[in-house]
Amino acid sequence: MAPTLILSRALSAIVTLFGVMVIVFVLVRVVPGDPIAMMIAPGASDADIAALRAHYGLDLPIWQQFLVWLGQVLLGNFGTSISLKQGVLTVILERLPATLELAVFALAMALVWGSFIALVSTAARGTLLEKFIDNFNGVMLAVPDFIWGLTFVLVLGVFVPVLPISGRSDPTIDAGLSSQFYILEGVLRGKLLFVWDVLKHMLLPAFTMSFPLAAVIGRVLKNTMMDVMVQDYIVLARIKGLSSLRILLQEALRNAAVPALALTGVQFTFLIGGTVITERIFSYPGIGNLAIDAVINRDLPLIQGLVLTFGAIFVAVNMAVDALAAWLNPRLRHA
Amino acid sequence: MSPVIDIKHLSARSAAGPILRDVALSVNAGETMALVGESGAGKSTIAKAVLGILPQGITVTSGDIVFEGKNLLTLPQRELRKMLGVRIALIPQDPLTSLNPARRIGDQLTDGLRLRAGMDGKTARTQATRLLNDVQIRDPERVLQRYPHELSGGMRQRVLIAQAFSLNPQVIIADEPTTALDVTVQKQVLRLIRDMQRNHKTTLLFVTHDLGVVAQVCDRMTVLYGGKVLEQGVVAEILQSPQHPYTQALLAANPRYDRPSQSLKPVPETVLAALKQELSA
Repeated sequence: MAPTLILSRALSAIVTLFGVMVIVFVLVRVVPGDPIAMMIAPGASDADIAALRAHYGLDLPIWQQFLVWLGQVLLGNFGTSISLKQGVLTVILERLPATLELAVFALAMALVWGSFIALVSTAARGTLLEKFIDNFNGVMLAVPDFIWGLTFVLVLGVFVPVLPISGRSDPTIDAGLSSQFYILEGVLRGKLLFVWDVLKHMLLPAFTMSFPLAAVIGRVLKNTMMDVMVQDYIVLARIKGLSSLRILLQEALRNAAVPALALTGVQFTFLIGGTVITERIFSYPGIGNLAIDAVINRDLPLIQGLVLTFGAIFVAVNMAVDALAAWLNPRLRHA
Repeated sequence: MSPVIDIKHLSARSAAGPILRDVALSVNAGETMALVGESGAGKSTIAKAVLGILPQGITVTSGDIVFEGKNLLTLPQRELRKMLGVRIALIPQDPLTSLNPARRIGDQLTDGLRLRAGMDGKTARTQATRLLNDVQIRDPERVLQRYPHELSGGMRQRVLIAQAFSLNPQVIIADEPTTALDVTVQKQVLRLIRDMQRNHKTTLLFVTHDLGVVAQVCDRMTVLYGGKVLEQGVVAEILQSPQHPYTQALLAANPRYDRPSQSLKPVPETVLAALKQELSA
C-alpha cells in the first residue's frame, strides 16, 4: 500500500475511534442503571452517596465528564474499574490475550472449513454432492452461534463428556508462563502438553464461533468461484491442459478469494462481537465475558474501556483486510 | 498428403435447433485453413468441438474429429487433456480476458513449459524470454514480471501467441485472434501469427469473419452458413471466382476502402431465402 493510503486509513481510524468513544460514553450514561447504587452499602445516607458520586466525578455535566475521560485516555490512563478496583487497562490487557487467541483460532477454523466447503462444492458442480453441501451450508447459515454453543455443551460436554466445556486450561496444570498468550508462549517454550490442554478448552467455543462464519465464507466463496470458473482464462487454462485441481486452486481461488476475504473481514468483527455470548456460555476468561460482568455491575470505566478495545480491534481487522486484498488483487495496488 | 485434422459428418444441436449440419473439413499439415461465416454460422462451435470445450446445451449428434489417429469426440477427458496445450493449442479471441489477472505473465507463460514439458523454473524462464523475443516483445525479462493489466491489448495477444506456440504443437486454433484489437495492431498481429506458423510449420485453423484477414494469412478456406459448409477450397480461387451465391454476396458486401462513396451491399434477401430453403431441406 502506498504511504498516502496508509496515512488516510490511519486518519479515518482515529475518527472512527473518536466516534466510538462518544457513542459509548453517552449510551452508558443514558441507559438506566447507576454504578453508585451498585456499590453503596444498605443504609448509606444521602450525603454518603453524594460524596461517592463526587469521588467518581459522576456529579459533573456529561460533556465535562467526557472531556476528562478523553484527556486521560490520550495520556494512556483508562481509569479504574469500579467493581474490580483495578486499572481498566490492566484488567483488559490481562484478559485480551485469551480472547485474541480464541478469535484467531476460530477464524482459522472458519477459513479452512469455509474454503473446503466452497472448493468441494465447486469441484462437484452439477452433481448431487453439490446440492447436499449447499443445503447443509444453508442450515449452518441459519442457526445462530449460541445455539451451536449450547448444543455442544449438551452433547460433547454432558452426554458424551469428551471435551472440557469451561475455562481456558486445566487449573491443576501450572505451566509457569509469564504472559497470558497461552498458546503462543506455550509453543515458544515447548510446553506442548499445556498447549494441547488449552487447545482442547478452546475447541468447543471456537467451533461455536466459527460455524456461522464458515457458512458465510463457504457460500460467498462458492458463488464467486462459480463466476470465476466460466471466465476466459479458466477455459484457456483447461485448454493448456492444466489439471482440475490446479485450475481450482491456482487459477480460480486467488481471483475468487478477494470478495470472500473482504466479507470475512466484516464477518470476523461479528465473530469478535460473538465472543461476548460464547465466552459466557463456556465460562471462558476473555474480554467478552468481562464485558458482561462489567455491564451487570454498571462498571462505567470498564465498559468504556472494553468497547474502545473492541472498536480498536475492528479498525485493525479492517485495515488488515484491505492490505490482504491489495496483495491478492494486483489491480488494487495502485488504486 | 494425409490430413492432420479430419472432421467427418459432424452434426451438433442445441435446444433451439441444429448448430452444425454434416460438416466435413480436413486440414493438411502446415497449411492455414480459414473458417469463414457470419455470427451463428458454426465456425466457433467447430473450434470448440475440437478443443472439447463445447458449452453445456450443445451436443454432438454424429460425426468424428480425427486427430493423430484418435477421435477427439470419444477420447476420455484424461487422454484429451494430455493432448491439449501440447499437441493442440489455442490463440483465444479476447486477450483482455484470457490472461489470469492475478498471476504474473511469466508464471502463466511458463505453465506449459514447467508442468507439461517438465522444465525447471530457470530453464522455463529462459525459454519464456526467448518466446517473447520471437513475438517481438521488447524487454521480455521485464514483461515476465508484469501483471496482465499492465500490458496493452496487443502485447497481451502477443503473450498468448507465444504461449500457444510454446510447446510447439501440431495444430493451433486461432479463434478470431484479432477481433478485439485496434486495426493498426491487427495487421502486426496477423503478420506475426503467419510468420510464427511458417517458422514452426504449424497447422493453423483460423476462425474469422473477416475476408481481408483470410486473403492475407490463409491457404484454404471453408465458408459456413447456418452450420453447413457451403464452399471449400483454395483462398485465391474462391476469392477470384466464388461458386456459391452466398459467397459471392459475402464478397460483394465487403466495403471498398478505395471507393467510400459506394454504399454497402448487404447479402440480398433472395440469397438468404434460398439458403434457408437449402438448410431446411
